[in-house]
Amino acid sequence: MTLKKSNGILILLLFLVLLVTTTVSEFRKQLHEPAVEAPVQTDVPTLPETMPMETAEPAAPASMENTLFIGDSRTVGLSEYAKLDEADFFSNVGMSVYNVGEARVSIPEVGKVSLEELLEGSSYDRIYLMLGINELGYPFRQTVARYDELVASIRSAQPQALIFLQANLHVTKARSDTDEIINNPAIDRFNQEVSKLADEKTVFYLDANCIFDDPAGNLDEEKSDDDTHPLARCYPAWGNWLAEQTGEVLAYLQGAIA
Amino acid sequence: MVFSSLPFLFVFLPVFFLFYYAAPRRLKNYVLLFGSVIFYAVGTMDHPEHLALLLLAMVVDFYTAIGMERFTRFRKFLFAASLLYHLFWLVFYKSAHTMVLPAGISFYSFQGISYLADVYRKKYPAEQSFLHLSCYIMMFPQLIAGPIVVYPQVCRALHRRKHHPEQIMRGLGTFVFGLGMKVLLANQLGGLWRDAKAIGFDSLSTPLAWMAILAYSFQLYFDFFGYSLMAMGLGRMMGFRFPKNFDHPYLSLTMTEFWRRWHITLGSWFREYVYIPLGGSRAGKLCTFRNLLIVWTLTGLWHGFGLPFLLWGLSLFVLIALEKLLYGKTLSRKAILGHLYMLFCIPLSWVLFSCESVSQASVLFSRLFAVNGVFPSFSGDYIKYFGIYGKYLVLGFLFSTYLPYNLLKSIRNRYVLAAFLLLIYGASVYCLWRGLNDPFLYFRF
Repeated sequence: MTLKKSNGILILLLFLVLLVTTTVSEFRKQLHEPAVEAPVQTDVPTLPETMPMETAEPAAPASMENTLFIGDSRTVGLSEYAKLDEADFFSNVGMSVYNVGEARVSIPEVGKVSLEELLEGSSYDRIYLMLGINELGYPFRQTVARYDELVASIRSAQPQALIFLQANLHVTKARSDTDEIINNPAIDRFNQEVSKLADEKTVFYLDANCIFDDPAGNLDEEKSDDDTHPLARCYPAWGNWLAEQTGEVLAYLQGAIA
Repeated sequence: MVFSSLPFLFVFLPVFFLFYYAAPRRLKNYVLLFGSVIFYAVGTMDHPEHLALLLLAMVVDFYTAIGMERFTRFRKFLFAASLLYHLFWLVFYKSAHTMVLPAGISFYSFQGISYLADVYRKKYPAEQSFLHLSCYIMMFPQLIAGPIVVYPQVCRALHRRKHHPEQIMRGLGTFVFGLGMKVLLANQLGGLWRDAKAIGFDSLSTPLAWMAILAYSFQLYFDFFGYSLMAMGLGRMMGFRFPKNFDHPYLSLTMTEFWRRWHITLGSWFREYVYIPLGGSRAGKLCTFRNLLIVWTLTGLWHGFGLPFLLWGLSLFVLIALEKLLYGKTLSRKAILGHLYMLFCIPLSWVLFSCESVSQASVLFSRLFAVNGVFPSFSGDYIKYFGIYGKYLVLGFLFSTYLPYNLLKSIRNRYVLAAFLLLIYGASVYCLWRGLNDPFLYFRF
């Protein structure tokens, strides 16, 4: 076979491979395209309102003294950048309902302790909990059950404390659309279960996504670089919002007692 | 497909080399070519037009070179047309920020251009075998991120090469060492840079800002150096000797020297195919500076069409011009002064390179130079992050020197060396399995 001929055959073969690749690529695209389904009417209960009562005047923001925050990397960010210096933080990167029991965290003036030791040795007026995003890969019902158990154990260790369950913050659209596990529908589904635990007497549900979301309900891309965590400059607004919301709750409780 | 990925390490590589070594000598180049096509096709599965573009580029290179020899009257026209063809696609994709850049386009276009320019200048005759030319352009070890090989460097091996077990083992060792550099060093250092970006540059303390840009500097080096070592190792396993791409660049005393030791094959390409054809430094000082300005503008644009890359290229031109005019010789003579100067210049030069916009770069500059105070918010940030990443920064400094490499070379006992490389391999695979992986930084160019 002459060189000229073999060159031609080789080029032909290569373009044949291209044809196969294009066909496979098209097939894959079709396979991944979501099937269009008719919208199904579901019986999903709507989220309870964050605030049980509307007050005529905004209540004074609550102080964060005698307060404990428990949570994952977002709570770590809150401890570092939200200027909530009076509060204690039991948080670390990757914390979840599955490992919070084993975690040991350094608390100023207390030392390195487990959550159980901390709750036994201190008395808090308010405890904020934000967990759930690191657990999204686990079986859903199992996670919800573990979350319930955690809230119950906090309640039994600190019966005097108000418990604020924080909704997990959303991720950006870019992540939500591409991550099969950590995406906003999954976050909302878990948050909805969390919100059901609020009795609005001693356990409250706070959803700070309103501070960080874009109009479509995803973490605003301008407020995050890694599509998951808010930028540090956004944390003070979250801290202020928490103080305001807590102030409203305290005013409501005082009103209810009066 | 990424070299430092489990599918590459555990599926592609073993299957490819099984076929490659089992194939008779005359078929080895076919295995190499079709293996490379599969490598590229799998990696660009969502964009089959990228494979089409690559195949077309090879056909254009092959027949233009033959045409330039056969139709001497149209030599100039054919060369200009093929050059424009390559530049068109480069500019088209690099300027369209919304489109996915075809993997390796910056690298394979430059290899094609160098081949065409050499045939045009009659440095060597046009290759008559499409198999050999396509292997040169497409062989998977150097397809995606170089080294930018020129044809004479592989031409002989493409026609005839030997496969000594000793060379194969050496190649494998180089590959594993490069893998470790990428996974165990670059990716870990990249964590600090990623964290700094997640915090937001405006909230970094000045010490953390310096740590972050140092981490980026090391990440970029070990990422690209690691990739180049892997490419060289794979090439050697098949009997090819690729030119080296890095020569301890962070030990340079001047920016001029740095760019002779960093991404060497890109620097050589610009010298050979732009700087010297423009007259180099032979036509007087003014022309030299004009030529340098052109080369550095093009170097900036080669990396990306955004303003940050253009400014980055121009800032390198300014530094190199200043060194030529004023203090270059002094720095080269006084090593301590040179190292201090580069310790400052290297991380700063990467600021524009690393940022997506000039405004983001200016925020980082403002934190590096403590505009608005040293600690804007969380004053303990640098202690926290040094605790996490300090060891990797120390390793970064260490692996920028000759010490670890000389130590490795001094190991004479094969078994000790094999055990050491096995350890690196095991640790790398473990990190990949745990998902502590990042794509290569140089894949976006």
